[in-house]
Amino acid sequence: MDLPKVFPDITPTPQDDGENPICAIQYSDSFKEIMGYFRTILKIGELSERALQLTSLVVEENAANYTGWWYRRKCLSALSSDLGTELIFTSEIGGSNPKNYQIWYHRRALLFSLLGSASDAKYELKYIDTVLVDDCKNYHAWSHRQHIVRTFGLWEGEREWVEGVVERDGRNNSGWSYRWFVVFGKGDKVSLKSEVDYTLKQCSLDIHNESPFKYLTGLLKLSLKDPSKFTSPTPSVFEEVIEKCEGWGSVHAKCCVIDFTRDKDVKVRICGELMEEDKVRRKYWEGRRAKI
Amino acid sequence: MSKLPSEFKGKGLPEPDGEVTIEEITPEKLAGMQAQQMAKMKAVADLAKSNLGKFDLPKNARYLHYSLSGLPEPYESLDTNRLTLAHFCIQSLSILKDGRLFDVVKGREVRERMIKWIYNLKVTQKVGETTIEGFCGGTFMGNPFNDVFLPTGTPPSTPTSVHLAMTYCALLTLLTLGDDLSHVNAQDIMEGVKGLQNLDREGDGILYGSFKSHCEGSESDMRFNYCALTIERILWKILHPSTPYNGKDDTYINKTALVEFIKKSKGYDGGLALMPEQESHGGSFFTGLATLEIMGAVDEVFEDRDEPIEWGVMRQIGGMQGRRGKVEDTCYSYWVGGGLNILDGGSNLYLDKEPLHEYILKCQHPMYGGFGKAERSPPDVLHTFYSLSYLSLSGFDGEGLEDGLGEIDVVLGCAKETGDWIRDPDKSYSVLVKEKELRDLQALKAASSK
Repeated sequence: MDLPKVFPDITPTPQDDGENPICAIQYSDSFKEIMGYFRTILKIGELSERALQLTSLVVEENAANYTGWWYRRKCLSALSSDLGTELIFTSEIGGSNPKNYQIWYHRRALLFSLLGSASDAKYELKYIDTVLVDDCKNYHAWSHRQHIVRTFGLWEGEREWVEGVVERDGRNNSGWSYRWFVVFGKGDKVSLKSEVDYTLKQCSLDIHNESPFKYLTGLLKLSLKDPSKFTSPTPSVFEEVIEKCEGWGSVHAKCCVIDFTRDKDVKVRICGELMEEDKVRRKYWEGRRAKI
Repeated sequence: MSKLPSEFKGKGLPEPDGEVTIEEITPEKLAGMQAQQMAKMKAVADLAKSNLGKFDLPKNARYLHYSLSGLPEPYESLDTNRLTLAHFCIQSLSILKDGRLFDVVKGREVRERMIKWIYNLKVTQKVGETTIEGFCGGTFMGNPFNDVFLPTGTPPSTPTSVHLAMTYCALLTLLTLGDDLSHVNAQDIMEGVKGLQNLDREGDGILYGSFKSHCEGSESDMRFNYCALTIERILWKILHPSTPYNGKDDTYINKTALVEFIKKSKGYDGGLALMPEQESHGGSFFTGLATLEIMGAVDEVFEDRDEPIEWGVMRQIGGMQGRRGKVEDTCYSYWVGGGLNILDGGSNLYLDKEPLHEYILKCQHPMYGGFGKAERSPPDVLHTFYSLSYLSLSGFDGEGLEDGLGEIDVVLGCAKETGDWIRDPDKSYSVLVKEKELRDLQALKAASSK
């Protein structure tokens, strides 16, 4: 975009950093030019097609410029622009900035007015899939998925979907965390037995993987604290878990035994073992032993 | 434009003197030059190698001063957050007890210039009938720079929004530089904070109780809760000179709603997420715990402290990871180490310091100084600050650091002295600033008369 040609009537406002700025950034010439025009446009409050185009450049130069995004939304609204096109722009710029807060926020703000129905929202889940293909632990993408699922009630099929994620990489803890969300988020009663069975199977596949063991601990603790979340009490699962974990004998399995066995001697013995086997956390296990 | 520090000046090419003759380069000469170049590079690499794993105080200080004076083009994406970068550099230099910045006499001019620049980022806004104040992150809006302190309430010619994280950084940095905050309006700042809390239970859903960072459309999460509460903590003695802080006052921040939000962000695994129902994360572990600590509400959320402690200690895999199954990153040394420090009352019992120090030192850049997030990552000011912060809080005093590091206030995230000022219930900032100046001058006098 040839800025002087598009904005012949606008005098760019330069940045005034004083004589002794801190952390002065060595801006490129294009960055300086774009920001110069943007400052003036903002000052006079022009909401126009060319102002909208200018904000594209602003957020392309610096996707974290929240004022750029805010002013862009003002232009979009004043011009009644096509938000579908805007969503494509957002996806494109998001591609090279997958961890930028402002882009994800902009996306959510658009969807808020764009998505009328659950079937529209399903397309958004497809977009999230493409982000997770590149980085299966992207915090923003998982958070956005939860937001969409909760807002539009798209719970169906999500558990099966995330089981696929965990199957591909059992150590993807974001997947485990998401499982908790889909299992408990809707508020339906949960079968403790079937959740424990699934998790124990995952534990058996990799006894050094902390993720399923912590999920298991979380389940059992919740069943003690708030039984109303579950369909029926199944005390036998505790014995099964303790027995299996004792057999596996990894650090995480042993930790699970300490958490749930009632046998104080066993607790003391295992804490002692962990002090030797898990030396980095020696002080922690020592502390646990002292409290038995 | 940025100013280069003196040691970088005068290194340009010399002006040609008289007629310039161009020497012919034969293949033999070229081979000789290449061999010379290779030998030079090897010497530099050998030197870097021999320093590996040793704390390099002069290089780290030089890196920070250099960053304070100017940053390269890739930092453009942080243009709206420059104040954060300044905060990282200045607090880091306080950990290094850097005389060039903090010497009572020699550093005065630099400190005063910095204070002036920071006050130029002060923003006054009118929201409805309420006047609010705060700071933005840089001079990116093009408002004219003022060499005098403007009276509070002067609106900028181009309106800019108050940003919570920038306000947090500004207030802490100003205090650390020896300013007494006499040019801010504490009430207006708190009005700004108040307006950013999500308090519509229906409309805000899971975000109820949390804070946005600014009013131009912002995400809400644990980071801004921490900034909001710290701002209140800093300004408390200005607002209530005769009432000690107890973390319960609801005038500006609805504490019940805030605690409720943090409670809901607790994971099934004992950690804390950035917001409810999400994955536990090292950054929210610290910001959530520090927020609770300031309110005196840690035990209200964590009935059994062993649960979050276990989450924290499990993040050590040599260095620290920020989430289960992720790789090491130096900044989590502080996020998780600082959170654990809060949980164990400052005794630093739980992490195995030796491998953690070793990891952090591996991430120190052998030639430029500064710390990166991982081994062989380029250094940056964020990871430098959090690496130094953990080294400081864990009492690192290894080779290359005979005088030890300056202490930090783990909860507030700044120099310990700044934290002590904030927590001092009796003395105003202006009294504390004057007392420090006098103390420093006397110490200087005593040292020079020896």
